[in-house]
Amino acid sequence: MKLAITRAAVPEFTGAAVFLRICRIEIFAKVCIIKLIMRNMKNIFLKMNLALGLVLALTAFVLYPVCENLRPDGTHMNCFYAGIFVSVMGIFVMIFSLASIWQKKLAVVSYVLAIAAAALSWLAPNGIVNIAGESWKVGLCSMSSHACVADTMPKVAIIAAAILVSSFAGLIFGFIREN
Amino acid sequence: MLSISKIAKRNIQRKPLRSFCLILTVMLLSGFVFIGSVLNVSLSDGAVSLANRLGADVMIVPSSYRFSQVEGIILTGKPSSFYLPDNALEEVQKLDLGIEKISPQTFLASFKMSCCSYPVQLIGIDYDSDFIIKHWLGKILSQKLQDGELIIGNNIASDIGEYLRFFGQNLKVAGKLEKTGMGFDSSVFVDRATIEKLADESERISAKRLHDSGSRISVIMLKLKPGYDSEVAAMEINRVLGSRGIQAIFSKSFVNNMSQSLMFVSRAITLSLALIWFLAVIIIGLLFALSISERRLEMGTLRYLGATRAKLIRIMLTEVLMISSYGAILGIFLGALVIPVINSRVIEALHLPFLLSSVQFMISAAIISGVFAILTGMLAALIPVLRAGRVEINDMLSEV
Repeated sequence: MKLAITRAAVPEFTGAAVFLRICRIEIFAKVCIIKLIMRNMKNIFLKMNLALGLVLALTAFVLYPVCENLRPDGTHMNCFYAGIFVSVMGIFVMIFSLASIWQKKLAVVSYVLAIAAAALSWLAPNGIVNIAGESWKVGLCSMSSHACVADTMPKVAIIAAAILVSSFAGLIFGFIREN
Repeated sequence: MLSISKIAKRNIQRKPLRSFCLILTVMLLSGFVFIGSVLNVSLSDGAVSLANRLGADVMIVPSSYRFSQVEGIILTGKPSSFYLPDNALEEVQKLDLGIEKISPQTFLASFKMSCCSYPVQLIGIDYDSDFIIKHWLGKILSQKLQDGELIIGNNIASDIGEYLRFFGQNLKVAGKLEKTGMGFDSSVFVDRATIEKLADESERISAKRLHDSGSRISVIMLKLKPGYDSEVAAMEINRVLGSRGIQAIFSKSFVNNMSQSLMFVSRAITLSLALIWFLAVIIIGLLFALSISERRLEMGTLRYLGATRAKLIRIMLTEVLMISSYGAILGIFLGALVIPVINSRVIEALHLPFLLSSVQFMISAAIISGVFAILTGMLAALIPVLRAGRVEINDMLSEV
């Protein structure tokens, strides 16, 4: 009788203990994951910038190429130089991100420069910021049907906006994390 | 030893999501206030520029041309070529309207030569009789505009001394206008002799006459003597010459339209900013109230350890100040990025003159927006913080 009562009692006690242990482990695991994410939150945005910078660098000549035709006089069109400019801005974003992944102190500077590069990659081809040399100018074709206007620039705008959002989020989390 | 700022910093780090939301709210508030104030001032500067530069009391244009098309040329510089009937100038001069000054202008749109070139508005002025553009040119040109020379608008990418080619003619840039916020920024000004040559070349290249009668006058600008009403003069011209394909527009109606649209847009911007401010106050106040109610044990412990009510309040206000300051700085940065984008889009979208404010004003607007955002954050969190400071230690600790 005594044994029957004890045996009847043990499974419930054991089940509750196991349940509590599982709950504690689960809570502990969640806290660890959150801490891990928070520790790496800054790196997540830097890595996103790195990936977006790569996409931006490839957009103008690989993913959504600008018009390849030459002018009647054999020179390149303005959108060719715009493509080069956008690719260079993408490379800059990648360099800034890599530098700050390597040296965490450079994170804020990296985000600010990435924001500037992303903004310029849209402003310069659209003529808001004038970038030109003796025989070249960063710009777009006047025909809306051309690839640079219809295809390339809308994609550049989206990628630049994504870099801006990622960088601003990184700046905010960097401030929180630093504190 | 833990100082107030260190405790505040730890509190910010402890609740990353809440801190993120607070910083984001203040950032958006600061950014929108900055952008909104620059937009408002730039629009009113553009309207003042328009009113000052219009100069003419009455504009005479072809009757086939709609009011909105004339607006388009003046505001955006959209290239157009249109011409009054032959002898329009002589017929207007015969009317008794109290005309003080009368001056013709010729509008000619350049061709788009390749896929990468943009057509430009060429405006030919009669330098001797002109009373609008000569006044602006006088500031940048020491002598009369010569044949074969041109004055470019501020948006044209060229400098004084360079040559621009239109209809096979190389023309020397004699001057560059300062920014007007109107379509003249994208226009080019030449004298009558030059525009006649360019118009002839245009007809030869396109193998098409610009106007059946061979007329080269697009617009006639009238300045009336004091005491004469522009609306009455315009109505008289329309009555007598309307059947000849001529219509008169009095400038006041143009400026009045602009003023009404501007007032509407300005009110819309102000209301939007007020709404954003209200939402920011609610979000910040709510988030802080929730945060404080979660931290009653912590605050009770601090009080138990000897922190005064004032110290507790200072810790929480320091936290708000840090969050608001950082959010405000980011908001100003965001605004500085957005302003060049909206600069180019506003005239197109709103059909209103837009003259971007000076750098000094933008710096002042940025500082004021930042301070405003910080004060909003502090004031929104003030009530929950003061209430928390008033609660007794026993009440705080009894909730454990």
